[in-house]
Amino acid sequence: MAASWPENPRLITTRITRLDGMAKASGKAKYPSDMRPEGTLFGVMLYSSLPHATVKSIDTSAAEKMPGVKAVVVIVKEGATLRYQGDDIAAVAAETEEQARDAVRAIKIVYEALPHAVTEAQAMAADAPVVVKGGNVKKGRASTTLEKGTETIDAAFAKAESVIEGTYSVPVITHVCLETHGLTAMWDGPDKIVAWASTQAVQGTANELAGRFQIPVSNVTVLTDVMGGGFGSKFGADIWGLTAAELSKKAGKPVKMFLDRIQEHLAGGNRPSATGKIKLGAKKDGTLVALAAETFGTGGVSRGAQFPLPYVYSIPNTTREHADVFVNGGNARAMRAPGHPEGCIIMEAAMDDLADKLGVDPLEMRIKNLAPKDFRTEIYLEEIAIGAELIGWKAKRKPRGKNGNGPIKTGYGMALHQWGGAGARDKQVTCTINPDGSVELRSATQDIGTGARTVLAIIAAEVLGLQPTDITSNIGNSTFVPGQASGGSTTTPSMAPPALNAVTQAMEAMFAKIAPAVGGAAADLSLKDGKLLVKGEAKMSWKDACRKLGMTSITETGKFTDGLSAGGVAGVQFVEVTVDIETGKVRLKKIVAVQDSGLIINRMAWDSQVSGGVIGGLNYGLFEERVMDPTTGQMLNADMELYKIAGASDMPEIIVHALDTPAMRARGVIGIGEPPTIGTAAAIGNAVTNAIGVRVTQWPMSPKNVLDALASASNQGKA
Amino acid sequence: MSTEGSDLPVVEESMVVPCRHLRNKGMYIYTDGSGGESHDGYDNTIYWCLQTMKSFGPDDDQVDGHECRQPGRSCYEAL
Repeated sequence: MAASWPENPRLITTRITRLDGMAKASGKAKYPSDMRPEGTLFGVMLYSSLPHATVKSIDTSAAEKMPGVKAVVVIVKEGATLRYQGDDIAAVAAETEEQARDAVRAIKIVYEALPHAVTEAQAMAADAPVVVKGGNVKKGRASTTLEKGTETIDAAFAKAESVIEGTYSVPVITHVCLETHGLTAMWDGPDKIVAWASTQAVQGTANELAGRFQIPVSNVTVLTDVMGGGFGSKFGADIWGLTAAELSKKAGKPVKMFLDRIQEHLAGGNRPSATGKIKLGAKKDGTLVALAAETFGTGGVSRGAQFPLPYVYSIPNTTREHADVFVNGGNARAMRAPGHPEGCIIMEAAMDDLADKLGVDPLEMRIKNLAPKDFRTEIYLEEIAIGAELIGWKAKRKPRGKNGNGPIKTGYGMALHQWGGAGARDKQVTCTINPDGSVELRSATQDIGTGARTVLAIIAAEVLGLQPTDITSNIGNSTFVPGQASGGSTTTPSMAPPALNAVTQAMEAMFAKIAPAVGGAAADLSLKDGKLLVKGEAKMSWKDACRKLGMTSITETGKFTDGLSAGGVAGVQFVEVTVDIETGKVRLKKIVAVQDSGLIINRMAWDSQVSGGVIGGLNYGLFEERVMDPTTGQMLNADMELYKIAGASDMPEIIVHALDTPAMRARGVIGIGEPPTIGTAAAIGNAVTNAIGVRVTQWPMSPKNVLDALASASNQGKA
Repeated sequence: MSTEGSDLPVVEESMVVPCRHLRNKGMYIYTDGSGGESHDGYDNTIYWCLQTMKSFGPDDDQVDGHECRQPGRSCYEAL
């Protein structure tokens, strides 16, 4: 019989401390960048200092003779085009990091500088230098949807009783992983590699290493016990990982290669920018009639700047044109809910602006335009009601610009978001019950900071009547049975079903084996509070029962089965801010995040995930921006000083509310990593606008952007 | 795609085998074929090439879900 989630769980849905929490907090946990096997060399990458250039020549002879240098690898050929500051050229491995850096500086590169375009404006100019063949602007699929009886989008807008037009923009931001990208590679003989990698995909990374060096993947072991954040940017070995392995092969010693903070900003990935020129029309009561959108964004030299629009709301007539703009900047990479934060910002800003023009409550306007046939609509209604109560929307919020005469203005904003978060159906977990009573789960997934290790242990402990600390949750090893790569909020919904099945199968196998020895049929046995029960009566301890297994452990492999997980979540966030209109400084006072995600396995980790998502979102809303210098083509804030993110004193009160109802639990497990980071920046922008009475069209809500908006409105006589 | 006057059969893009070096994040996640990076109404898939580990292939042209299904491309190797 297929396993199912318990109706009255003992551990699942409760707050469980992470198994590796103390090790992480105390520094005992070893991150991949902490790993230094005996004889480890330090690898350093040489990257382009120019935003666009041709490599005329590379001379590594001086570097190879430098003290401590053991290997040099040239990545690009002479004549190659370098397309952004940070583009990889060569690498050195030496006995110390300082020696490797000295040697990298000794590599002689002759560049031919090429004209560059590092901003969208530069790249879209008529006389722009060519960033990529085929043009710097690549148009995406244009789409138009019209309701029956409406011939054109103009005819649709003619039915609207109020229309707003606005342009909203959000800049490129980088992932800012606290542990930078990289790995430590160690060869074991001529055809075996062990790599300690900071990755979201141990098996994907192993496959790439095996493929590059033409060795069997079974000869590659990628280990990720813990890791310091990826946010979508760490799938695979990357050029620096492959280069580390090549340097290691040449030097005959392990090589540790992790990007420095500058290169992490330049080449470790980014979330594309987004700009939307929006026209949105509605009836007097706020019912949306039509949307026309022209959007663009840049993901550097790669594509990927598309985003969903319209977002969340049902609009009968829409037209959309989008263009990806190529600039001389590092590749975009997937970043926590790719596309959704951008789409949410642009849609929700336009919604608030139209509500303000109509004089209707933006909360009521959102409710009015929820998609009637979407299962999420009922969830949104419930979440909006809860969130509005927690922020005090009805009691405290005033219409835009009606927030008193003093310089400090208080404002409120909100935003809705949605995500998928369904699991992949092809992953496995093994469960081993040993005669000494120890229990081990194994799978080639990894814990990217979300608490995945603890989730698996909770499931096992729930089934076996044990505590999570009784379970060894062994993940982060590419040689184990296939586990889920951690992206798209899919890890828990992919891994929880096979974990439940593996443990249930192992328990049943154990019962079948020990039943004769404990005086009952297998069907009479059960487990509770660390004891074996026969016909409901405690017979012996768990350990004593396991001893009845004799000399052989039981190992079962669980696979995915339907009904244990699902996909599709809603979510709403409310924000309270104060804005000093003399300095432009925004202070966050309170953020309310109301979120659903089906059955919650570990409420403590779930709360942390939502809080973390909100914190990521408030960084996007208030601080983060990659600043490129149009003249030199350099990133001006490729560090942790001028690339702003929030500190402790910037944190507001964050209220996390789980929509944890019987109906939600019945849906099964759904991922939570991405949804709570989507709506925060949009809600912050709307709160700032509500406070000061003027739309700030450019994110982040920095003092400059706030003051620019106030000045612009003042010049137009609006403020 | 069809060419006027050509005798070649019309081949849907989805039927053409992609290059074995083409990668995107969805390939690592939706290994069961349940989904991908493309969505109704928008596609923000970011591709890279396993040969270069970048968004440009060995031939210095862009890596793309369409371009990397072209057997005529010099670096193309069928999956």
